[in-house]
Amino acid sequence: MLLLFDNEDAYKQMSPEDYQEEIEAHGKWIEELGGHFDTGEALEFPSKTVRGEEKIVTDGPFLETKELVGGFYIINAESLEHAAELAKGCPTLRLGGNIEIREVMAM
Amino acid sequence: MVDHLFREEAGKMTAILIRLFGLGNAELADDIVQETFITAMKKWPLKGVPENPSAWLMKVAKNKALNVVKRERMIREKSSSIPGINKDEAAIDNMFDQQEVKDTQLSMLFTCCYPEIKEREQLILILKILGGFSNAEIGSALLIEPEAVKKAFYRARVKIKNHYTELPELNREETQRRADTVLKAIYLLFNEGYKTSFADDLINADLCYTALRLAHLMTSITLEDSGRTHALLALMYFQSARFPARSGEQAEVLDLKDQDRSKWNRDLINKGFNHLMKSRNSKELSRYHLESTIASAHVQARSFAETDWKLICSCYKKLMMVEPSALIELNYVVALSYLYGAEFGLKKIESIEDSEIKAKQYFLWAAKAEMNVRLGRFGLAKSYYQVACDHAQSSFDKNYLRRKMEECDLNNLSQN
Repeated sequence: MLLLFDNEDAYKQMSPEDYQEEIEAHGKWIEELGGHFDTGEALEFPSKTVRGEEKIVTDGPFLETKELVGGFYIINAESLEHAAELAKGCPTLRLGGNIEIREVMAM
Repeated sequence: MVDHLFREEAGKMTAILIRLFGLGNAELADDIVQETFITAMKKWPLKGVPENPSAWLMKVAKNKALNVVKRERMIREKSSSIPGINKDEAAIDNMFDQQEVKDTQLSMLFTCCYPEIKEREQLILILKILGGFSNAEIGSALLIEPEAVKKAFYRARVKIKNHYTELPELNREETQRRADTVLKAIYLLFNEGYKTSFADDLINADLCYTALRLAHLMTSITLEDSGRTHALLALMYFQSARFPARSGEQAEVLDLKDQDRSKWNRDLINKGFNHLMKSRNSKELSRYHLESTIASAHVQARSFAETDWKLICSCYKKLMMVEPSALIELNYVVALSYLYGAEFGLKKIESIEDSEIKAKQYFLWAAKAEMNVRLGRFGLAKSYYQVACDHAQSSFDKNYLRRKMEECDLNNLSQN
C-alpha cells in the first residue's frame, strides 16, 4: 500500500493548466504500472480523530502534521524495495509530497 | 482530455460563481474553482476521466457553491455580502445550466468592459473572471508583478460594484456601442499574447486562445453589426495560423519574409477565410475588416515576393482614415516601400513624427534600418538598428535587434 502524503500548499499555487497536466501525469504513471496497479482511493479533507478510551472526537488528523494522507494506492510488488522503486515514478513527489510504503499482511 | 480544457472550465466556473457570490467575493469563487480541480486531480487518475469532464467539473463546483450558500444562510442570513444568498436550490442549479453559462459569460464580459474601467484593467478582469488565469500568470503575460495584478483587480472591482446589478440589460443601440468596447478588449488581449507568444511561452499563446474563445462567444449575440465580430475572428485566425513559423531553430524571431510558409496552419487559415466572408455583411468597414484583409493578403501569398502589396497599401490607406495613428502610418509606409521601393519608403518615413509613436519608437528606427538593408547600406542600417535597440524596452526586442546588427556586420564584410 502506498500512502500518499500530499503537499497541499503546492496544490494551492497551481494554475488550471497545471492541474490538467498533473492529472495526465498521474494517468500516465498508472498506465506505466500496468499489472502492478491494483486499486486506490482519493480521500476527502477534512478529517476527524477519535482518541483513546475516552473516545474524544476532535477535528483534524491524529498527528500534528501539515501533511495529510490524501489518498492511497494498492500495488502488487515483489518486495518493499520493489514497491519503493515503483513509487518513485509517482507524480505527487514532484510537488513535494511524500509516500509511505506498507505491506498489507498476507494472512 | 482536450488542450486548454481546465483553463476554459476555470473561466466558466469563475464567471458563474462570481455572478452568484458577487465581485466582492471573488476569492471565494477562486477557492471553489481550486477545490474542484483538486478533487478532479485526485479522482480522475484512479477512476478514469469522466465521459463529460466539463459537466463533471460543473457539478462538483455547483455542489460546493450550494454548500457555501447554505452555510452562509445559517450564519448570517441578512448581513450576508453574497447576492445569491436568497436564491433557492433550483435557481442556483439553473445558473450552472449550459445555455445560462453562456449568457453569464457574456454578461460578465460586458461587465468587465464598463467604459469607466481602463483598458489595462479590463484585460485583467477578463483574464481573471473569464479566462481562468492566476495572478501570477496574468503578471507574466502582461509583464507586471502579480501583486500589481491583484491591486488592479481590486480597483476595477470597486469601480464596477456601483454599476453591477444583475445581467446588464442593454438596449439595441447600447449593446452595439458596448460591444465595440468588448471587441477592442478582445483585440488587445490577442495582441498582448501575439507579441510574445513563441514556442516555449505557453501562457501567451493561451491569451490568444482565450481571445478567440471570447470572440466566438460574441457571435452568439444579436448585434446591429455582427460583421465586425467576424472580421476580428478572421484577423485572429490568420495571425494564429502563422504561430508555428514565427520562430527559428534557436527560438529566434523570424521576420515574415524569412518564415517557412509551409508551416502555416492551413486549417486556421481556412477558418479565417470563413469568418472573413461572414464579415462582409457590415455596412461600414471597421479596423478589424481592414486588418483582417491585410492579414489575408499575407497568408494568401505563396512567397513574400508574391505578396499583394497593392491591396495591403489600399487597406492601410483606409485604416488611416478609420483609426489614424502614427503606428499605422508607419506600417503604411513600410507597405508602400515594398510597392514602390525602399528609397521611396525612406522619403515617406521622414514625415512621421517620432514623438507621436512614443513607446514604439524603436519600430520607426527598425523600419528605417530595414529599408537601408534593402538598399545595401549596411553600415547606416546598423547604426539605425542601434538607435532602435536603445529605444526597445524588452530584452526580447533587444535580442532581436542585436541579431539584426550582427547580420549587418556580416553583410558588410562580404560586401567589402
